[in-house]
Amino acid sequence: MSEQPDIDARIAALLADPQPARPDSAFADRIVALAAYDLSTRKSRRRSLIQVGREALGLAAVLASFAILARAGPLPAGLGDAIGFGSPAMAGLAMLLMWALVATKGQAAASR
Amino acid sequence: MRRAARDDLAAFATLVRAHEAGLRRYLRRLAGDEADDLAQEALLAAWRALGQWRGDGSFAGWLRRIATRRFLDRQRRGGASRPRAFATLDAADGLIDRVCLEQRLAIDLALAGLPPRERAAALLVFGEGLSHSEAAATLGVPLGTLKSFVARARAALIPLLEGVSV
Repeated sequence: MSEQPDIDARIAALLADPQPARPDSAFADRIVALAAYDLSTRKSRRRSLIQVGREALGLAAVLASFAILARAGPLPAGLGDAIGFGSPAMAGLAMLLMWALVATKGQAAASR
Repeated sequence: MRRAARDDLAAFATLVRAHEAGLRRYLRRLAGDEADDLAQEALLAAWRALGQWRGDGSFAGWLRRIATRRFLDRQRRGGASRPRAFATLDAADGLIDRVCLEQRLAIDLALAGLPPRERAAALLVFGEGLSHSEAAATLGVPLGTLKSFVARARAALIPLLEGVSV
């Protein structure tokens, strides 16, 4: 049992490398290039996710406008030619405009 | 380290240049021809996880842990490859005394004959000079299990020690 540290030291001596590890700059360059590619992929994925989020918001606005319009009853007699600013149709129009704004902004961001 | 964790490629390049040689040397003995692949995987995994590194222990130790566990995962999936006989390569490069060649070749072959986890334990404890608890943490096994890996590796290597003194 008392020989064990000696045995371990001799095994360690056998496993010891005669020379320090030799650096390989080509290998290091390849790793850094892969890391740069990984970074650009992550950034592009993040941009895509933001874009999808914006599109989803726009879609939600459109769906909400359709839901509001579907719930609106027929216009009272005499108001057929004049749709008020607070009417469901106007709300739908406002939401469509918001969708267009979001989609346009999203496309502009994606093209940068 | 903090700069590299903030996606600073230049800082990461400095880390890679400081640690790649030691990592590949350890992996060549552990995994043979898969060493460079494993080193690449470990370094890229470290790059992606730098923000999560808690900083307990050295960066080299963290890299070694990632690489060792990936090696063991590969072995579990059946991608076994024999470690390279280091002594032959070094002698071919004229790096070691030819007197030692036979003994070094013998120990490399003995290491190659060990099961992967015992080989890793022997390399971590005897080759890299880690304590038993550090090696257990690197391999992700309990301390008692690590000690039994080391004992089996020691038993396999003892016959090669004739004439070796320290």
